[in-house]
Amino acid sequence: MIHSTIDTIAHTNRLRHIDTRLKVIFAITTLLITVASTSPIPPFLAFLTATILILFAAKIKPRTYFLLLLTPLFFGLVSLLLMSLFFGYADSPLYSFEILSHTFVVQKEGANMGLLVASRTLAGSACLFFLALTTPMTELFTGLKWLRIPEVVIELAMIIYRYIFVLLEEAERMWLASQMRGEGNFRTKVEVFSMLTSTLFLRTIHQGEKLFVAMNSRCYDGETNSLAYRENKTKISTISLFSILLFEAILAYVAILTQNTALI
Amino acid sequence: MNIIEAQNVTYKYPDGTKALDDINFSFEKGSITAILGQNGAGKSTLLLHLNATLRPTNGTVYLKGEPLAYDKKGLHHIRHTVGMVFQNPDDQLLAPTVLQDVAFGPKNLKLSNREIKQRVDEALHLVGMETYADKPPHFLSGGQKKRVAIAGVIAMKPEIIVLDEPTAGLDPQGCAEIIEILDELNADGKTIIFSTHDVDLAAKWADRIYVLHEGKIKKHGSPSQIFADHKMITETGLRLPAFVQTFRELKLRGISVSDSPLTMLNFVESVSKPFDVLKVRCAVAGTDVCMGEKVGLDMKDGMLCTTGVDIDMNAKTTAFGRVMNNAKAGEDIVVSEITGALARKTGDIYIVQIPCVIEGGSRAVDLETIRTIIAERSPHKIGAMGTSAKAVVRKIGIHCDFEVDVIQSSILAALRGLNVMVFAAGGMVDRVSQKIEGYNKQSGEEIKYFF
Repeated sequence: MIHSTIDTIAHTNRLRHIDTRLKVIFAITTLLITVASTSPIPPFLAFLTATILILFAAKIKPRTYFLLLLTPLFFGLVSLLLMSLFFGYADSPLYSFEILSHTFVVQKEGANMGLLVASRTLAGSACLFFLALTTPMTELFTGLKWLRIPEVVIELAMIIYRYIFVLLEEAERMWLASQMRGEGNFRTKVEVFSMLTSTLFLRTIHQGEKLFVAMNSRCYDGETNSLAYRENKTKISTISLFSILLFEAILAYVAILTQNTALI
Repeated sequence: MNIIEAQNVTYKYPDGTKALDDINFSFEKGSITAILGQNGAGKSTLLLHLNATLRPTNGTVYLKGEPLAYDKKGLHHIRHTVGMVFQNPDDQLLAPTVLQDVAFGPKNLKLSNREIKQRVDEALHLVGMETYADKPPHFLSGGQKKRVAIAGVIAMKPEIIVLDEPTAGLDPQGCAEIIEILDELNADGKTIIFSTHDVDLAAKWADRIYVLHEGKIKKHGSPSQIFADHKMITETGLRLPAFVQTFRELKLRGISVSDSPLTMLNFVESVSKPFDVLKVRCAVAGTDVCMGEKVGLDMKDGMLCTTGVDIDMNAKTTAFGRVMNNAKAGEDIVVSEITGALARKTGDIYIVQIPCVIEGGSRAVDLETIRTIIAERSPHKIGAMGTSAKAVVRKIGIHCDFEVDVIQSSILAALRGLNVMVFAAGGMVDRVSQKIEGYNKQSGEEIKYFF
């Protein structure tokens, strides 16, 4: 299961013990600059940096990372193709070809816009993958608190995160059990799926009730921030923070320099 | 003193079915009580009354003589006093990390962060999960989840711990670990109430048993009282403990006569016949022997051994027999026509007290002193009871022979003439000496124990 792999990697990678806030600052700022940039160059730089960090600093297996990248890559390429064909003015043809006696023209503006979108997609995904692969959810919750997100929301998020895995396990068990009793044609498969989903939904409610009883048994009153206990408040090291800020500044500067410059 | 009592408790489900039907029970402070019954007997329903999750339709539950108060303040007090460990740890572990989950209860008690940290550390150490503090629960095995669930309850320092099927779904070692943790808590003065359908566990571990069947209490009493009533056991869909069953068969064949045994110790005792009753025995050849040869018999390293061919009236050798087959030294042989009696020689049990977790645990122990003690006594077997005692044994790096069922295994070894050293944590020392004394009194054996 892909979910548990990402979760496992997040708990075991080499950058696990770097302060969460640093990783959040890096990922979010880079993402914002990338989105704001009007040229594909800063996004490419950001993509490169995030990839290097993921592969060489966090030591994540290239195969895992590239498998994850396939989705945004596919999306980027499709948008590049479509945009270069259907956007732009007719007076700047770059290249044209004929399929089934219909002429397709690649427009300059379209190609540039496609490149920008594709590069943003890749860079944005890489930034978020960096965060997802190096930081366990459990640590992110601390980061959320630091960002002044209300405690109620964080607490809910924590319980939801915890029970995703319980439900995932339950769903897997039920799915396996249905598979073991024979496969059917498409119609029965759809029926079985709908049955599994509704049963899973009912079990979710049941699980919720049990959880409530268990929480009450430990004196839960709904008022205290019961899950707010945290240990080892680390301090952000000045050097790391400084180098991240320096990187972001350079990236932002490049973005300003390359404003509205097109590659083609 | 009864810490919890119930009078005429009836509980009806909203649809009118009676889950509990006019039952009375009382749990003594500091005792271990089992609620035994088959699936659907009402065990879980009964347990949920103890921490006021369910309110009886009729009747009253008393905590320390006071009827339970079901208002907000009352509930807080009850749930602080009565800790509940649910059957499925996934129903209970709700925080994203082990640490936060154990801190959940103390946080609800509105303790200071310092106090919370101390309690969480203590609880995790006691269940041996301190190295998993940052892990999310879905990375843990079933047994580990169970231990965390127990830690979450311990951290609230309840006086009573209620467990629904504490050993369900665990492997034998997982079970033994849970039982030991609970034993340690019990030695610390906590009252333990658990539900189970495992008759062997109830027979071995509980001080008192309540048998629940279709919402009614069929019988209550000590394990030996309960399992002497074969008819009731069958009627309630339970079975007799394995030892009791085996024993019944032996008794029917005239091999044993004493009371129904409940533990391995009782069992071995009830079938260990002197030589004048059972004249054929298996033994280990001390030297090469031939068929028909006459040999002496003696206990050596806890095994019945032949002592060579010399049958001079050696002062030490007091039992003799005839070898039934050819064998080399070290092989098993059968000896018949046994005469005389073995000099009864029991081993000694040395008990070494290790501070329990709250008193500083294994960190407060001088390992050199322990090494000297072991070297001085050079025991045949070593046992460890309790988290801190096991930690000490691990730190010294010696092999621990008994980690589960320590007291019983030690007595059995001592009966075979072996010297045993038991490391026991904190209050468990008293329990060991009490059990040995109890055994000596009951069987007339002389097992000495030292501190």
